[in-house]
Amino acid sequence: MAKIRLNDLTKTYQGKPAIEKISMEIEAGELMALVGHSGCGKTTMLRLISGLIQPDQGSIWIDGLDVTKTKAEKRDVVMVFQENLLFPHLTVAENIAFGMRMQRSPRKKRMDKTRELLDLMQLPDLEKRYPSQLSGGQQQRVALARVLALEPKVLLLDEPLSNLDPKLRDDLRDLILKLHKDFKMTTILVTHDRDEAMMMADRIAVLYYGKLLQMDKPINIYNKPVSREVASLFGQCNFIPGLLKDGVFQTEGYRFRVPALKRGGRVEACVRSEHIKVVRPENDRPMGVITEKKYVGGQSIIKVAVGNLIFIARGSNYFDLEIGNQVGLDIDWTLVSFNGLKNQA
Amino acid sequence: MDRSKALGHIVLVSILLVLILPFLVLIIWSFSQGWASNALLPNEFGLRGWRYLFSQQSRMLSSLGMSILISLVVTGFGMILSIPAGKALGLYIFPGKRLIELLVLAPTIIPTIAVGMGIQIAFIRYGLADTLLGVILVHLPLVLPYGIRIFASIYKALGTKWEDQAKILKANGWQRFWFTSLPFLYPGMISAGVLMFNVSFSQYFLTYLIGGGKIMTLPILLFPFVNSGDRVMASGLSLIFILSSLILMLIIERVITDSEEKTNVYYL
Amino acid sequence: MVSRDSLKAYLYLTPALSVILIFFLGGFILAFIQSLGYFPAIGQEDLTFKYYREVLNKPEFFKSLSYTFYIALLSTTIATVSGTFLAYYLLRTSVKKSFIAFLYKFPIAVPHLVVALMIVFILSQGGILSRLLLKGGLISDTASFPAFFYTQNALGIILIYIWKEIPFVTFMVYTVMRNIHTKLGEAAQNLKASPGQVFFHVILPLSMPSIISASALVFAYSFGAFEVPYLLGATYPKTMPVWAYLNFISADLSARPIAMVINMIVSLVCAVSIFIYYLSAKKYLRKWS
Repeated sequence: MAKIRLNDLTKTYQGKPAIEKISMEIEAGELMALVGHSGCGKTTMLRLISGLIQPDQGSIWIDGLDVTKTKAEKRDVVMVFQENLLFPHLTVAENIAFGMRMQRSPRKKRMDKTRELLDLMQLPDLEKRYPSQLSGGQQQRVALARVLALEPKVLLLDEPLSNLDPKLRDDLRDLILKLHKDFKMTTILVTHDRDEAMMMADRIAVLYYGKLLQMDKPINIYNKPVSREVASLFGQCNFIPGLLKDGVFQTEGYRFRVPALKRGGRVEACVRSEHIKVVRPENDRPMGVITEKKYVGGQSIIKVAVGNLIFIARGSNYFDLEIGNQVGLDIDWTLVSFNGLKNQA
Repeated sequence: MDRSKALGHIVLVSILLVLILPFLVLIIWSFSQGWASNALLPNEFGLRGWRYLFSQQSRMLSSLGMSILISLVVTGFGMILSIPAGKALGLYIFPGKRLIELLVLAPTIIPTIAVGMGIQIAFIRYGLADTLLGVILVHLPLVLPYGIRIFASIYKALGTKWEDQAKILKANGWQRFWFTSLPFLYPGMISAGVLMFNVSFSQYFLTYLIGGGKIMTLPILLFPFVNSGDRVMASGLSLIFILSSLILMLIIERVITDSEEKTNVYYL
Repeated sequence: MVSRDSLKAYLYLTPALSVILIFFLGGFILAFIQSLGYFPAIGQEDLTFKYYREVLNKPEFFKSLSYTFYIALLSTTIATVSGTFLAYYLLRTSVKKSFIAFLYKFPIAVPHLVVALMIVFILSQGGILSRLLLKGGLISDTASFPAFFYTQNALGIILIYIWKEIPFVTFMVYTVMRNIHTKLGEAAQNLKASPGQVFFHVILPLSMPSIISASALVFAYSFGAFEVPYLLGATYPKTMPVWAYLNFISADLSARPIAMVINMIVSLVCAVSIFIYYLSAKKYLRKWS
């Protein structure tokens, strides 16, 4: 259990900022997911927190102690890399005991702990095998066991599930959640998979080109994204520019009554496609023509042209709709978020 | 199809013949005891040549010992010097890297005759001429390019990820080298070791110039036999030369291969 | 500002570089200084280019230079061409890997001196081949067997070099070709290229940098080699390294700067050959990346 505080962290690589002035607090025992496009600085964050690299500016605090200058091998932080990096010349047991051996723990303690972890990770009878003789899922379990053996305060996971096939991924995800609960480690998970982040994390931090855009509970990230970038990372969104004033949102000649908000002026409404229903055309609703129709699994994606705007709706019972049909749209405005328009919009 | 296959066999067999036949000639010569100048085979076979070679007068055993000593020391130091240098060139980017890469290659480019003749005067002044130390010191730069190039490419392929992983598992600098880098270096150590050993083992000119005839190695002993002298002796000496070099190559591979097998899967 | 990583790199390089700088380049620099006539032992301390002029004006100079070039160029060309084809041939036959490993490892263990001895035993006038021909009645006496050694055609020396160098070139090119072949060979066959077309249009151009690199190394070696031409070369002309050595050991101490000048010229030729390799490899690599 350790609380992590990052203060104005900045790291540049060859003049280009990898992350810029990031500050955040991660509560003790929390599981936080770092999400963003590739190259957004997620991995740089982990490497900074682990101590593998030093920030150019800013500081890192763990439990009220400044560890910015502490080397990786002296920090109470461990990390599981994307490629599991099991030492190919050591057996499973030797891999798990490696960290304890480096710290010169007594042999007896090493052996007990290794056995305990093998059981915990459901890796019975594998201790004498070499990593090349294990399946991908087993390898990743050994990689986890190996860092847990050090009883770390902070666990960093860099895309731990990305190299596994779907079934194994589900198993290992549950295992990680269980371990997180049992050991109460502060955990930071880097992932590019939004569902993984939604399912696992207590809070999600969204990075975009090295900047922290939003950090909040998964439900808020989904329903109240602070920007277009955050919104599109977590599912399909219709962005509708318009004017917000006194609880009314105006766009394309339509006026919608929306829940009262402090914000006003030129805004962009972010409407998730599953929050739009395609209904029979009625007078006080936006009306348009279906231009495109696709099936994805059990759902249909319907594109509707309303004036100059294209709305994308998603739902499970639109099978009888055809391209060219006149339809109306029913938008659930309580679930729509409004963000100030930036220059480019 | 059959014709090209037959042609293929002919090519391979002739390559083998070109490689092997000369050795047969050496072997026949070394066991011959009297060979008329126009006869295809010796009139008599015997161990006279071998007996002489293994006697005190021939100085074969002492030269062989000296050769092995020099080459092992040179290979050992070459290894110790070229692993860190290879790491620097394989992993880091720093000002002057191109120049240093060129400097490291210099010993394979500039001929040893220029260096040997130039440095002799300094070695005489500092008392290194005619000494074992002097010979080892001039051999050392010759083997470094091979080691550095091999280790640089290994470190480059490995990257820093394994070191990072070891840091995360709380290994300090030496532990990281010993437990994580070294196992990955084994295969490279074999090829580097074999190359360095052979470069030093077959060196003639610098040993001769700096050792001044006082440091007797196999090449020095063999040199005058190439165009004159007893052919029986020369053949035996050559065979011993090749055999000892082959045996040492085998030993180097054996010593290191055990641990290599496991890394083999991952390396490359 | 020098970063921490750079400092680390310099620290790691210092031991190896010091050895190379002091015991190798140091010797080269001393040779250069002596080539300028600096030789306190006989009271010469002025630096001058007169020995360079003297060497360039000697009648032997051009003879020796072209003799050395002839040996180095001919052996390098033969070794490069046959090594390259052999590499491709080995690639296409289903030969065991251990056999190929033997083909290149074995010659490494055989030093030039032993190769020289073996070739002498076979090709000299009292050698096996001449005896065979005599037995077969193809020559009437050993003296009519063509001379391979101590001659201006230097065929013996060239054979010695290519025995050592073909395996070297083959191996260097083979490893590169194998990578190219597995990656692109099938793609090219898929585009209906014949084996010959695959070789000339895909594999050969892509292995060019390594072929050039191998031949540059081979050329530099055979141009600067001493032992074999010293033992088996013609009485006249001498190769450059042998000529340098003869001046070096001359009782007349004033011949020393001459030896050093010849050394400098040999080194220059070797350096230029590597530089040409570097330029052409760069040309290829720039085109591709």
